[in-house]
This record gives sequence, structure tokens and C-alpha cells, in this order.
Amino acid sequence: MNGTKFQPPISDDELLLYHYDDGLEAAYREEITRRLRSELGLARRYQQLRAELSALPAPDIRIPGAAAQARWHLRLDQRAAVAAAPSRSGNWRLAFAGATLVLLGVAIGTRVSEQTSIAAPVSDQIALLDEPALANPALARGVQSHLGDTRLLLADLPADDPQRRRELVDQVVEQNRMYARAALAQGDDRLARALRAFEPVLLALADPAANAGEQGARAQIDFELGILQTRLSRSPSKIVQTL
Amino acid sequence: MFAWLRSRPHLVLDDFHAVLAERSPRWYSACLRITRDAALAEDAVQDALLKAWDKRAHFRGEAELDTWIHRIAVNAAIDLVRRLRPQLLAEQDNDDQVCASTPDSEHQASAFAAGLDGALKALSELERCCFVLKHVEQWKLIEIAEEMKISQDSVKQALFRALRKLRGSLDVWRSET
Repeated sequence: MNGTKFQPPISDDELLLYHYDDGLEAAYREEITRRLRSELGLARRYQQLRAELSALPAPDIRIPGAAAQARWHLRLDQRAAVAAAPSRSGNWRLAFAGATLVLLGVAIGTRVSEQTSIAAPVSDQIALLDEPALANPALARGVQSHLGDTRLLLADLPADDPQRRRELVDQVVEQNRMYARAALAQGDDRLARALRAFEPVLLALADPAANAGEQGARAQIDFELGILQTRLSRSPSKIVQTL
Repeated sequence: MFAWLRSRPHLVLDDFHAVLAERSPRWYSACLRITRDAALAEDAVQDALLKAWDKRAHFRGEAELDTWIHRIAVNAAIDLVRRLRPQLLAEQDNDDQVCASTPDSEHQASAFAAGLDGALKALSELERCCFVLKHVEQWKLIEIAEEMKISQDSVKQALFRALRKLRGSLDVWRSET
């Protein structure tokens, strides 16, 4: 017996966990600390690892687009207004009118990039779709189907189960975003914006306190969804698909 | 910054607007690192903001409002990626296979010149998410595993692979500079 005990090598993976002080048993961590003091090669490898991690560039800070920032402030105001109002009917209209004004302000005062998702209220956005060059047929069919499903779902939105109601609206919003992204990916900015314009109105319906004015809100959105459905149904034959 | 919010009994709308105006670039950037998609990152920030507003009564002030929303936004970004690109977050435990697909050195060098986000392009979706959450966001491994709905061991393996790829990038980067 020469008194030396075999010590399995410590890998760089283990040194990484040691560096983060996470994911190692306390006893093994202590062993690494001890061996770092006594094993020069190991200490050198650890220093190298730390130096390399330190050499990684700092995280970039990207400035979101002006339209996105305006949209976040607007959504916040809408959510706050919906939750605070005593009369849902008046409040919904107030929120919608406010949103319209703010959005118009944003549209006028802000340089809205091609990639931004919303710039004007639903009716304005739908009106823009009157021109040709709408979505490709497959996308148009998908969106039509989505709009139909949305109308059916909104017609049966439960009034007595706020959580379920919120889940259903979230589901619709998620689907809506998916189609908006698909439209954007296919270069159909106007359709993307029209779909995006529905989002605040849909979100307003999700609020459990929205029952009083909810019928009017639902009728309005159903009407606008119907218009968009109609627009999509009559345009595809004249479409030139862009790739 | 925004430390005064901790002593406020109730958060009001102006608090949210103030922190949004000041900190949204950080939230957005964090979400962009996770999603690599501007529209998804915008959605994640919006979802987080509305969720935070809805849950403001639960905000106890242990953290700053900024940090709280930042965390919710990152969670929202992960959730979006998991739902929209589940196959990319699938666990990849085959180290050899992953290491074999080393990006070319030219790309890596230019990626480093473009900052951390550029460097992260060399990583797979899972590796990038795990690395960002650990190295940049400083989450615990268990938190990453829970949020991404994968095992802690998978998180570790993804981190190890990420480190190997990034070290390869660093070598190239150093030789270029």
C-alpha cells in the first residue's frame, strides 16, 4: 500500500456545474473544492473554463418596435379599464373608443414598420383587405375556417364560468395569432394586421366582469368577423400568390 | 431601479406603464433570445404584462416589479416555443450526433462578432434555451427543468453540449482577432 487513493478525474462538465454552483451533491462539490486546491492541472482547467465563460459577449439589448411598445401600453390600459368599469356596456365601448383613438394616434404619429402587428382598429384593417392581392388560397381557407370557429365559440361563451371563459378566449387568441403569423410569413401584412386587430376586442371579452355589456361586444365582433370571412371568401380567385 | 415599488401597498396602472417604458427592451430581448422570433417575443411580453396586471394583488414586493414581469415574460416565451416548436425542444441525448454537426468556423467567428445572440445561433433550440436560462437568466437547473418540462439530467446534458459548441466558437473567434 503506498497510501495514495485513486481519484476519478473531474470532467469539464462537472466543473461547469461547479462554476454555476448548481446540480452537484454537496459532498462532491466539497471534494472538487479540495482537489482544486491540490491539483494544479485541474485548477488550470477550471480557470480556463471560467475565463471562456467570461469571454462570452454580453447579452444584447434589442429595442422593440414603436408599434409593439404602443400596443403593450394600449393592451394594459384596455385590461385595466375593462376590470375597473362599473358598467360593462359603457366601459367596453369606452375602451374600444379609447383604443381606436390611441391606435389612430399610433398610426399617425409612429413610423410603423412592415413587420409590426397592429396599427388600426378592426374595421379599418378589414377595409384595407378590399383590395386584391389577398392571402393565398390555402391560407385564406384556413383563416375563413378559423373565423367561423371563432364565431361559433364566441356565441357559446359561458357567462357563469369565468375561468373556462378566459381559457376559451385565450385559445381563440392563440389561434388568431397563429394565423396572423402565417399571414405575415407569407407576406400578407394586411391580413396579419386585420387579424391582430381582433385581439384587443377578444381579450376584452375574456374578462369575467364583462357580462353587462357583453352582448353588444359579442354582436360587434361577430359582425366584423363575418365581414372578414366574406372578404376572404370572394377574393382568392384573383390572387397572385407571392412566394 | 423601481425599488420604491417594493414599499408601495398597491400597484397602480402608472407603475406598470412606468416599468414597461423603462424595462421592456430587457424583457423583449430576453424573450427574443428564447424564441428567436420577433413576433413571438412581442406576444410573450404582452402576455406577461397582462398576466402580471391580473395577478398584481399577489405581488408581494420581495422582488422588483421589473424582475417579476421579466420572469413571467421568459416563462411565456418558453411556453410559446414549447407549444409552437415542440419537436425542436425534444430531448437530444446523443452527444456524438450533436457534436458532429459543428457549425463552420466562418459562421462562428461572425456570430461572435454579432454578440451573444449571434454566438447562440450555433446551438440547437434546446441547448440555446437551457444555456440562456442558466447563464444569462441565472435560473436553477430544477427551475429550467420544470419550466421546460424535461428532466434535470437533460438540462445538464444540453448545457454541456452548449458549452462545447461555444468553446469551439471561442477558439475560432480568438484566432480571428
